[in-house]
Amino acid sequence: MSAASTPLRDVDDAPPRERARPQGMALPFDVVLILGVIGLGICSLVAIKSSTADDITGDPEYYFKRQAVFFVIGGLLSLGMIKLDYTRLRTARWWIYGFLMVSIFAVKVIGTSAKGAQRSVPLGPFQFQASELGKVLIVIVLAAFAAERGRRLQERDTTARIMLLALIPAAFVMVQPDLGSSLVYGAIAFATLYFAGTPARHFLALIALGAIAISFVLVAAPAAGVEVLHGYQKERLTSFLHPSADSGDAGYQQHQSLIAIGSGQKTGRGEHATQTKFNFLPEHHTDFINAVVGERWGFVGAAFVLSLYALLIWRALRILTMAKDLFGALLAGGIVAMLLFQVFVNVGMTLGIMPITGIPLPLMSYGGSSVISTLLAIGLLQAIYVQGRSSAAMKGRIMGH
Amino acid sequence: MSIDPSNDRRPPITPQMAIRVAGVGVVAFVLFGIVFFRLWYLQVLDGDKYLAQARDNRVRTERIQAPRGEIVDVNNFPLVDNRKATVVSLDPASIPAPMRSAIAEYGQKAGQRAARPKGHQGPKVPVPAATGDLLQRYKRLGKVLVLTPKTINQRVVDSIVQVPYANIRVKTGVPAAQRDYILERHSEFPGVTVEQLNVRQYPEKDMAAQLLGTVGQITQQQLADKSYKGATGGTDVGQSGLEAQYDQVLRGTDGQYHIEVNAAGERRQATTAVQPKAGDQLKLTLDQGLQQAGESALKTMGGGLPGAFVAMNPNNGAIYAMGSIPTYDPRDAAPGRFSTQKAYNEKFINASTGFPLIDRADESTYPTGSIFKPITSLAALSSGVTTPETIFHDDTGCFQTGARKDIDVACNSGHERNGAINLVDALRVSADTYFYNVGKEMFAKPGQPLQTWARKLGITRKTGIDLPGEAKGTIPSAEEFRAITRAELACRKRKKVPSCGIGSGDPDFRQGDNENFAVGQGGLQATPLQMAVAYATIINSGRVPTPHLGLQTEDSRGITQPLDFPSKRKIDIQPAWRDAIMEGLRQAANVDGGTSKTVFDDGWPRDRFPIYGKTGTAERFYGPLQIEQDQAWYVAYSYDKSNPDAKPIVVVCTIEKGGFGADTAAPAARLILSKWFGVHPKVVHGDSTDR
Repeated sequence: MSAASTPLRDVDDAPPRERARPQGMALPFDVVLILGVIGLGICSLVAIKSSTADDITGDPEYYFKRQAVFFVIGGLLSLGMIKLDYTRLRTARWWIYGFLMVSIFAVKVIGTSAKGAQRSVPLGPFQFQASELGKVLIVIVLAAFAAERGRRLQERDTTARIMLLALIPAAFVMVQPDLGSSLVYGAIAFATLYFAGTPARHFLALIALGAIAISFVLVAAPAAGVEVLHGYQKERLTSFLHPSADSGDAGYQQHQSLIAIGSGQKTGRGEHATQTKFNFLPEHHTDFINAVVGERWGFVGAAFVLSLYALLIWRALRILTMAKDLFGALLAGGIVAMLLFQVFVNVGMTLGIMPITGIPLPLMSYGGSSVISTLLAIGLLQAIYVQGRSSAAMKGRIMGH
Repeated sequence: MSIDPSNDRRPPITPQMAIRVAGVGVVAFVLFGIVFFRLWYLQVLDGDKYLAQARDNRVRTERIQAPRGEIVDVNNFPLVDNRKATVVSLDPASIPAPMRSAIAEYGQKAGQRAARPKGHQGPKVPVPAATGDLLQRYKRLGKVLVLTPKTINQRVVDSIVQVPYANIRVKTGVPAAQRDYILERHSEFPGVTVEQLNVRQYPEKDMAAQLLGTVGQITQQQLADKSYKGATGGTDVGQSGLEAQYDQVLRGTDGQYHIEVNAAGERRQATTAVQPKAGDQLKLTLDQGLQQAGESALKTMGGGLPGAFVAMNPNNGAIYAMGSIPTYDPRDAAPGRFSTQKAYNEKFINASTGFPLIDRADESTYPTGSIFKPITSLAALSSGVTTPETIFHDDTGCFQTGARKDIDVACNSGHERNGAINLVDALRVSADTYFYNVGKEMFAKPGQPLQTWARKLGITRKTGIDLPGEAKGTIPSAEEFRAITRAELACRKRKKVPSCGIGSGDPDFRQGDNENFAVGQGGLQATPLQMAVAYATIINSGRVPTPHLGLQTEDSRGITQPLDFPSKRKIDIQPAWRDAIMEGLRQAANVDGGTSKTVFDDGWPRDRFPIYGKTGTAERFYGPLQIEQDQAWYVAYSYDKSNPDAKPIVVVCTIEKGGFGADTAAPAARLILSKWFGVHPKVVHGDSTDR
C-alpha cells in the first residue's frame, strides 16, 4: 500500500468494511461477543460437570447445577445492561466506590472464611465474593474519575489520585488475603492510565515506586520483622521458578497441573483422565480448570478455549474503538485489562510460566461472584457498543445532511 | 436511547487512542502467542513424558509374594513348608535422602574395609545414626515392636546396603495386637507397611538343616546373577542348601497388583492383577524316618561330638539320609532373627558351637583311615603288586617303612601279629602292614597307580550331588607335596615364622608317604559322601552313581517332573578284584577276628540282611600341641536278601574325635541299618582296636 494511492482518511470515519456493511439496526448488540461468551459458558459447564463428578458424594452435578444457575443470573443481568445508559454510572461513581469499600469491609466484619482466607459474605445459599464484583466496580470508578478529569490527564496529580483510588481497595483485598484480586485492581488501574493517555514518565515513576514497594515487602519488611505477605503467598509467587515433584511444597499443585495438561497431548485423554478423577489436581473446578480442559480435551480443547478468549479480547478492543466518549473507551479498556490479565495469569499459572496467585479464569472457573461479575462487564461492553453504534449512526446522518 | 449533547464529547477515536489500542492489541497477541506456544510445547512435544508421569501418579505396583514350594521327603512327609507371618517393613523412600546417601557411603566404606587384609583394615566405619525426626519415628515404631531404635537403624542400614530399593523388613512374626496398633494409627507411622507374608516353616526343626538350607532376601550380587533371573529386589531366595540349589524350582513367580491410588495415596481399585505362581514342590529321595534315626544315632554314639553320616542307594545314588552334627534350627538362621551380625556369628560361625552351618557330610574333608583300604586294594590288584591269593607274612606286627632302623617303623594297632595273610584277611583284620607293603611296592610302579585309583574312585572329584558348596578333597602325591611346600615356604617368608603348619617344608614325596597314603592317611582328605560313592562304585563293579537328593518336582497343577541323575562314569573293575574286596568286607563284619564282627553279633539278622563293613580310625592332629584324637569311621553295605534290588544301602558314618571306628561309628551305622530294615535297634559297641 503506498501513501500516494491511498488518501489520508478521516479518523472519525468508521473503517471501510464497517461502512460496506448494511447500516441497519437489525442486531442491536455485538453478536460475536455474545457467541464467544456462550461458547465459554458451555465449555465451563462441560469441564465442571466432568471434573467434579466425584467431588460431592451423592450429588455428582452439584457444581455443574450451581454454575449453570450463575450463568443464567449473570446472563440475564448482562442482557439487562445492554439497554443501560452507562453514562449514568459516571455520575454515580462515588456511590459505587462507597459500595465497593463497604462490601470489602463487610467481608472483613461478617465474612466467612474458607481455606484460611476471609473473602466472602454469605448471601442466601451463595457466597458473595466482594473482591470479584470489585473488579468491575474499580473499572467503572477509575474510568469515571479519569473521564471527569479529561482535560487534566497530563498532570501528576491525576495519575496519583487514580493510583490511590485503586490501591486503597487493593490493599484491603490483599489482606483478606486475596493477592490475586488486588493484582487485578493494579492491572486495571494501569490500563485506565494507559488508555487515558498518562505520560510515559508517570509510568516510569510508578514502576520505580512499585519496584521499591516490592523490595520493601519481600526484603526490607521481613528483615525488620514485619511480614506483609503470608509465607505461603511468597512461596507461591516464587515457586513457579523452581517447580518440583515434592508434594510437600507449593510447586506441587503446579507440577500436577503440568502433568495434567501435558498428558492430554493432542486430543486429550477424555474419560481416561486421571489427574482430576483421582484428585491429584487440586482446585480443578476453580483456579486450575484450564488443566482439566487440557487433560480431557488436549491441545485441541485448550486451544479452542484460548481462541474464545482471544475473540473476547478482540471484540472488547474493537468496542473500545467504537465508544462514543472517553468514559466508554476507558471502561472498555479497563475491561480488556481485567480479562487479559486474568486469562494470561491464570492460564500461565496452569502452564507453569506464571506464579500461583489464586486468580480465576473468567467465565470458566467455578464461582458465582466471578461469573456474574464478568458477565456484568460483558453487559457493559455491549452497552458501550450499542451506544457507540447509535452515536455513529446519528453522526453519519448529520454528516449525510 | 438518549445522547446527552452537553457531554464533553470527544471524537470516538483519536490517533493517540488508536496507537494505544494497537499497543494493547500487540501485547495481547504476544501474550496469547506465549500461551499457545507453551501449550504446544507441553502437550504436543512433551506430552509423552507427562502422560507417563500421570500414569506413575496413579498406578502403584505392588508385589504379591508367591509362596515358595514345599520340600517333602520320599513319602511326601513335609520337611519345609510355609506359614503366614505378619511382617512390618519400612519403605526405603520414606527414609530421608541425606540418610540414604549416608548409608550408601557407609556401605561402600565398610565394603572397602572388609576387602583389605586382616590386621590392616583400619578403624571401623561408624554406622550412620538416625537423628531428629527419623529417630523419633524409630522410637515410636520400636515402642510398639519392642525393638530399640538402634536395632531398627541397624536393620535399615543393613537392608539399604544390601538392596537399596527393597522394602526394609523390620520385624517378622509380629503379634496381632502390635499389628492392629500400627494399622489403626497408620498416619503415625509414615512409610511403615504391614503385610502378611509367607515365611518358611520347618516342621522337623533342626533335622537335615544343612541339606534344606536357608532362605533370605536376595542380595545385590544375586540380583546380578543369572541363576536368580526373574527375582526382584526384596524377594526371598534360597541362600544355602537345597533352597539355593533348587531356587528356580521352589521360588515361583511373584504376582502383581496394579493399584490405582488417589492423591492421598488411598487405594481406589486394583486394575490388573498378575496372579502369583506358587513355587513347585520338591520331592526328595530323603526318608524322614531314616534321617531322624541317623541324626539321633550319631548324637547318641558320638556323645555330642561333631560327625556326619550318609545313607545312600549304591545303585542309583539316591540319598536316603545324610546328616551333619551339630545342626541348627533353620528358623534361627532366617534374616531378622538376630539383631546384629555379631550375635549371628556367635551362634553360627563359632568353633564353640561347632560351626553348625557346615554340612560335614559333603563340605568337610577328613583323612579316612582304614576305610580307604579297599581303594588301595583295587590299585594294588590292578597294578599287579598283589593278587587275591598273594600271601604276606606279618610276623612282627610292624613294617620297615624306610631305610632307618627303629625310626622308619610303622606297626599295626596294638602291634598285633597277623601271620601269613592274603588280601581278604588283610581287609578282615585291617592289617596296616599288608597295606604299607603294597603302598611301598606301588611307589616303585610307574604312573602312580594308588593316586590314579584314588582319583578314579572319586577323591578330588565332586560327586555331583545336588547341593552347593561340595568339597573336593586332596590326594597326597609328588605334585601336591611340591605345591604344599611352596605354600609353606611362601607363608614362612611372609609371616617370618619358623612354621606355618601347612606342610613340613620337605618337597619330596617319598616311599613312606605313599605307604601312609595306602592306609588312608598322609595327606588324604575326602568327604564322607565321596567315600560312600567310592564304595558304591566297587559294589556296582565300576559304575559310578551320581548321589542326589532331588527325586521329582510337582507344580501346582499336580504335574510331576522326575529329576534325573544318570551315572556319568564307569571305571574298569574286574569281577575277581571286586569279589576279593567284597569278601574281605564281608568277613570283617561276620567272621571271627573281623574288625566289626562283634557289633553285629548281638541280634542282627545276618541271614536276611547280610553285612559288609569296614572300620576306620583316622589319625588327626589338632592344634599346635598335636594332640592325637582319632576320628572314627565306618562304612557298611547291606541289602534285603529276599529282594536284593529293593533297598540296597551303603552307610558311611564318621565321628570327629570318636576314637576307634568299631567303638562309635560302627554302632551308629548299625542303628541306621536297623531303622532302614525295621530291625529292633540295639546299641552294640564293637571291641576291635584295629584301625
